[in-house]
Amino acid sequence: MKIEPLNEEENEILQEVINIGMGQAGASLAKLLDVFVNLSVPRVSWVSDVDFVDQVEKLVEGHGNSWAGVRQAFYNQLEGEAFAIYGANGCQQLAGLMGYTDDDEDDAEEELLLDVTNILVGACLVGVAKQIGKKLDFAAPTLVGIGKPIEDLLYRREREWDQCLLIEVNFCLEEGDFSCHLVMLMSEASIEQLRSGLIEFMESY
Amino acid sequence: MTAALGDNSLGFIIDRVDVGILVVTENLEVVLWNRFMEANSKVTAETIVGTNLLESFPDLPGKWLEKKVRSVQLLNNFAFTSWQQRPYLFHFKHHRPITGGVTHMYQNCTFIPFEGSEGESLVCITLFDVTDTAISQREVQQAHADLEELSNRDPLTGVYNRRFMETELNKEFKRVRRHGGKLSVLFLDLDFFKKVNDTYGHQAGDQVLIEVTQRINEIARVTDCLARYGGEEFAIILPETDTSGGLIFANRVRELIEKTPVYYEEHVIALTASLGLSEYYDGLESHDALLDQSDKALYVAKKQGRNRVVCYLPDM
Repeated sequence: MKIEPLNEEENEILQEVINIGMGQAGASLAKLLDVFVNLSVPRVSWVSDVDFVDQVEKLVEGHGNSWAGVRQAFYNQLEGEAFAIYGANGCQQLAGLMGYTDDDEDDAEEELLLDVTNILVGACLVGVAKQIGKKLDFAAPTLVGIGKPIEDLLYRREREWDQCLLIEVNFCLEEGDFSCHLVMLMSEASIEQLRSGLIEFMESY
Repeated sequence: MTAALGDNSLGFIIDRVDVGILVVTENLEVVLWNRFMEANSKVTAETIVGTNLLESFPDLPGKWLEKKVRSVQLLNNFAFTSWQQRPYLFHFKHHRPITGGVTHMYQNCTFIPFEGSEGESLVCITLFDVTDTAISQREVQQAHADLEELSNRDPLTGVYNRRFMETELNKEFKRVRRHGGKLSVLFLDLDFFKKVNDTYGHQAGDQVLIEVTQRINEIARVTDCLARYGGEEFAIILPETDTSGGLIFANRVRELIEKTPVYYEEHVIALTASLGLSEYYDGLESHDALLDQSDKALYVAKKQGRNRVVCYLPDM
């Protein structure tokens, strides 16, 4: 079955829905961390599986050798896999804010990456799902790699689905920059769900 | 979820399911504590419900836990912990005293925010015993590490093999090229080794190779990398070593081999070795070139009559 990609109008609504979702996420995150959180407007685009790795490399300006990747599955009416990519500084500075103490060392950094991914992916997708009235659940995030070149994190492999939603979000904290790139891969069935939800969302206005 | 089962049945299932389930308020006051938690902690529901969780479990990471509970309530989102980063939340005994070889139960946890019947915000924490997974993963990792170590070694002598040595040398080469520093490579070849094999047999030859590598390793630094390059030829990477330091080491090796024969059955096998030494210099194009220099020096040592050390010179 070949799925029609979202048309221009549907894409616009999706962008809007994601903006709202991420806005809420940013507000919660600011409240949680008790710091001012500046959130860029998320950039949303669709890529085919063939271009997936190239596109993601372009997105993160894939040079440098020290990236961290965390993946997390989501399921129910919307289903797929989310992938978060962090640069060299990762989210080290978030450690104190998230209640991690310095003496936990390596495992603490990994856990922090998992936590932040869970929060960002959750915030973004729960926000979207709620607005378009779709059910959504999450599995635990897992670490794909840390301190590795980007191509090691996104090595080419058989992918079941050929549509991929790329969402780029940048977070800035008062103390300095911290950026994260989020990539979502959705099943064809859930793209149909997404479409029907978006149409309902639009009509409710 | 179906409501066809009454509260009693649901309560029974929650109590008896093979998963730890507890519910806490935002101040970590315990609201629910199921049988799994009771059985593993030896703290009964009667004693803990209504009290602060940290009172019964002062070893819990309190600050972190409070943040975690607050974050799931605030974001209204599930949160997870994995045994790979946080081996356990509650320090429980594991159930594999015979087969385990571990010191505690490994746990995966999920934090689920929800609203109580009076609108209060609560967090349900579920705890999965993943000790089996942790143990098998550890076994796999150990097997992997053993295999990797094995694949780097020469089976006869136990010293590194040529492939590993070349990878290491390449790393060292890049390091000195980028950051500066010294690096030398020593080649060693046992003189007339074929004669040993022909006279005393291959087992004697093998014994010679084993003992010679042991002797070299005894006087080498831990950072030096001794590898069997092939047959009776060995290479030694000498990091942070220039030609004069390398020469001192090379001559110690040569003297050691010359004055310590190998005893095999009733035979006393006298040995000598020829050695070729060369040092990294700016402009050397690759680690292969460095190996090539040492090899040339070794060749000259052989030609000049063996049992000697020769340093590489550009006109060789």
